[in-house]
Amino acid sequence: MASCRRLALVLLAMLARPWIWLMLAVWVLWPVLSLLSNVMTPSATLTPVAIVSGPTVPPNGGADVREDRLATITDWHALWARVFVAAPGGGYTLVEADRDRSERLGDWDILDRLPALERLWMTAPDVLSETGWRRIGDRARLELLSLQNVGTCYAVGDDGFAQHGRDALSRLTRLQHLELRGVGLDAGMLLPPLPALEACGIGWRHLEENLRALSVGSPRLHSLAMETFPEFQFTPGMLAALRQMPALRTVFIAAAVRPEDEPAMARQVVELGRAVPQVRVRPGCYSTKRVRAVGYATLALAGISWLFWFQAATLLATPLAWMLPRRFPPHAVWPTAVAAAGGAAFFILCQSLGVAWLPAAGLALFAVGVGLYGPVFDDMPGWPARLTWLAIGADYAGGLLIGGFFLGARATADRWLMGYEPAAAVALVVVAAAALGWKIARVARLPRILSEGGREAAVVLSTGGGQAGARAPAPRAGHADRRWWRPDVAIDRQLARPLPTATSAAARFADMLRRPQSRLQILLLVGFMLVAGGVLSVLPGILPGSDTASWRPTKGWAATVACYVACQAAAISLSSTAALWWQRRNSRVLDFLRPVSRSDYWLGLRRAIARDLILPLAVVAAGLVMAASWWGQGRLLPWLVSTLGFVGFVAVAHAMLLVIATGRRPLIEARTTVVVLIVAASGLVATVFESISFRWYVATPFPWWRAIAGAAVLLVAGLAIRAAVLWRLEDREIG
Amino acid sequence: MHDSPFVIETDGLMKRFGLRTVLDGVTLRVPHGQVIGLLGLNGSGKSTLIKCLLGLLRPDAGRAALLGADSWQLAAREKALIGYVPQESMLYPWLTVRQTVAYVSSFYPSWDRAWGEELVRRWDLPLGHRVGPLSVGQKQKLALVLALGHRPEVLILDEPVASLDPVARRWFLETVLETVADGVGTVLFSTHITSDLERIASHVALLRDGRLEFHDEIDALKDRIKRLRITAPADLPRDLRLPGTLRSVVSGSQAIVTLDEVSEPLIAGIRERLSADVVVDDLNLEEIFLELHDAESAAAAVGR
Repeated sequence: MASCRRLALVLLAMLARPWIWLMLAVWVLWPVLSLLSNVMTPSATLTPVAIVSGPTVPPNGGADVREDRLATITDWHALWARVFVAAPGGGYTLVEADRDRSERLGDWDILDRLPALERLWMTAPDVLSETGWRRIGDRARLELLSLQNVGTCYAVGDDGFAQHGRDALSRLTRLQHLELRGVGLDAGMLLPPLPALEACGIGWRHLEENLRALSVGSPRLHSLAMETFPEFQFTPGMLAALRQMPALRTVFIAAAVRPEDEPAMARQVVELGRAVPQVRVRPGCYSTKRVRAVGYATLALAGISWLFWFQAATLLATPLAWMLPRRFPPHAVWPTAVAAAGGAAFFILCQSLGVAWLPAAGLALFAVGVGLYGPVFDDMPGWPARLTWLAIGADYAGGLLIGGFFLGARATADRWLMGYEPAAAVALVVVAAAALGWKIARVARLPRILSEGGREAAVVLSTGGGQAGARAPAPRAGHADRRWWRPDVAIDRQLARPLPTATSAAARFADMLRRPQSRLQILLLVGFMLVAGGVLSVLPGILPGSDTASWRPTKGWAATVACYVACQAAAISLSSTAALWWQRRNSRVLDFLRPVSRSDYWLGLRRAIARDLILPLAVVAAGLVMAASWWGQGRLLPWLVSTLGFVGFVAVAHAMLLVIATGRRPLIEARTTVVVLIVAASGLVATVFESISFRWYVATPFPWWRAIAGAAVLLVAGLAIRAAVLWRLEDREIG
Repeated sequence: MHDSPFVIETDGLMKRFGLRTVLDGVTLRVPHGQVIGLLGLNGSGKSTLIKCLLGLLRPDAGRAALLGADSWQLAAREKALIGYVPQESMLYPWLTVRQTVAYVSSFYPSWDRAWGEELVRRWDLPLGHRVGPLSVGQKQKLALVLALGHRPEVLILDEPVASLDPVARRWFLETVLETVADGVGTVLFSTHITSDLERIASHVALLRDGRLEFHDEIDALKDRIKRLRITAPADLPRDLRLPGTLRSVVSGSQAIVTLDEVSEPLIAGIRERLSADVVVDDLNLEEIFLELHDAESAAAAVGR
């Protein structure tokens, strides 16, 4: 009875904090809602694995379609819509096909104006006519042709589509990547010899003939996707042809349209794998719904587990908890129970979605343990700290890999979920279980870790390395400090500058105020950009058999990575800068008492914060310039919106950092700052996205007024907040 | 040098926080060279007075001045002559001791590098260690180094020993005395530990509920406030009606009375009027403090 009462009181202590409910709403509610909406939608069709890369350019060329540039365009994403070409002197000309929606449909006049074309994508509901086929055949420099599910303009019963297609393809001697699955409702096209072909997607009609043609006429073919059906059986001729392909490494079998056909696809994968052992045989369809559902469920489980582990660590870090006998069991029961119940629910959900038990177990272990960081930042030096950081490293690597799977390589993720990669699944189980066990052991010792470290009871991230850093051996006298990774070594060098004048001017004072943190800020930012940029750049290349087959870096990919990294780096840099100023609030009294006048103190503080903001805001500006120049495609609107929004964001950021550095109610001001900065950043991203999402060649309502209005609101609100914060700043009391 | 004869000066100083009056017309003048203790219970307004003097808080009425300049408008010149040690550490935990000294010294054109290094060495501060994990005593030592390194003209200590153990406290006080001997002109020492004050201060200012009850030399305070033990042959009246009574406890034929302004004629008059034997006790600062603040202590003394 007493133990039940103790457990109830611990739970009460956890749930009594409004913070936990806020975090539940912020971190757990949305993945749960997303999971439910995903699970409750009707069974969706499966998605075929891509065998060629997707379009790297906007549909119909976007704003780049200028009369004088057509001859240099190499990549074209054809879309069944009107195509305008801008004349050099101004104005537009309507070029493309369906202006009368009759005999010219599928002719693709625009192709005649693209002599340098190397990559062409057409997708449903586009159609091809005889003229269209001829024009494709005329583009002899084509290296990539994707015609998945493109329709036909031929009359019913006319088999000219397949014949004209074969004629066109036979003229494309440089073709390396070809996607023909579903073209003309699988018209049964017979492939001509394609000597340069490396990756190809074909339908089931005339499959044996086509495989034979590929084995003879395409010696460089290394990836092949075949569309079959559940009852399909491979003939000896097909198997023989596959065995004769010298460079073939991977075969995808797309035998399932609906989830219930997946067992049949699995059977074909196994059969072909046994028959052609030198080739990797993989399922050619995957379930986006399953990947999304498991992804959201993982996020929700990680979120709710983190909440309760964090609560336990927080309670265990208080001196009161240190004095309690048997303190760990009641505090650990709830997070363990939540993790166990959540893990079980997760496992059942995975089973219902057809996920194999090993990947499900690995994900469950990873999700319940990834947020358990109570003792990490205060762990004892030596091997415990090293093991703890190893566990963090394992989590980080696992998180990146799993995130990459669920965001960018869904085909790979689904294949892994279905149990096709048992080695990777076992590895995740082992690593996640080891990391979880170690972290639980450290949480159990948290009071001791804190007390042995001589620290005040708090679970905080020590800016600058914390206890372990403090105990690191100092350099010997007369030797330079080679611990370059330490954030504050440079302060010694900085302090070698000439001493200030008798009356420190505000600018000099600002410079001196910034000294304890400038290097830390740069290290955090540059470190993150290098790591995140590097990881994101190579991730698509190292993910095996991802659905971005034939992946190669493009300008669009580089722009996306650059904007993403800039966004993340700015968030990290801004939050670390705010955290540093928040941590300095107690020292403000002493800073104020330095030899500096009141007006110079406030001016110096403002300047110091402004200078600290230069770095994160420069990253924000770089991200905006990248977004506006790449996706804006020469239009003024994104630049205007970015400029207005950026000015507003700068005003907000400066004002809120002043609030956080000068406030007298630190918790309230810190929370307010976090909320205001998140809202401002979201507003900036939303307005810029609104401005660049407009495409004049797509029939969508012109949203310029929304983007302008959003940016204007951000600007006005930012300036108003800044004015309010700066109002009578010098008259404020300190301490 | 400033023109005012007083280093610390307040005139009718008032400070309110909301409806609560924390300082109520405090007038205090401290000339150069004094070591003055600011004594009072928790919440009596000591820290608020110091913050007003340092220009951290703005008075609601009255005036506060330091080194002859209005506290709210202290210029860099005056601030360069102030040393301040707060009750709690206000240092950057992520810097090492060496870096902290270097950081603070960079603000002061008059920083005496040799003196600072001497203090660090004398007090055995670990230069290579971070400030965060240092003990409370070490942090206060460091705070004192930072307050003294630029050889201030006035040193303000806001309950600096409250969290120190007795050994560290004694050391700290000796250090303050040494630094005074080394040339720091004026020291304002806020505390509620009277024995510490008695050890180093020549003057005391007594704050009670935001008002300045007393400001003079400590010896003058001791001369002024005495405790009388009165023993009469018969029961004494409940109210002895003695002038300047601070505390009065009567029990039968015995009474203990603490009086402000005790004189020989007064004692002779008591003896004559009550036909009683009167013994005059000298009080130390702590007893005076208790007599002024704690009636129960007087009652307990009757039983001795």
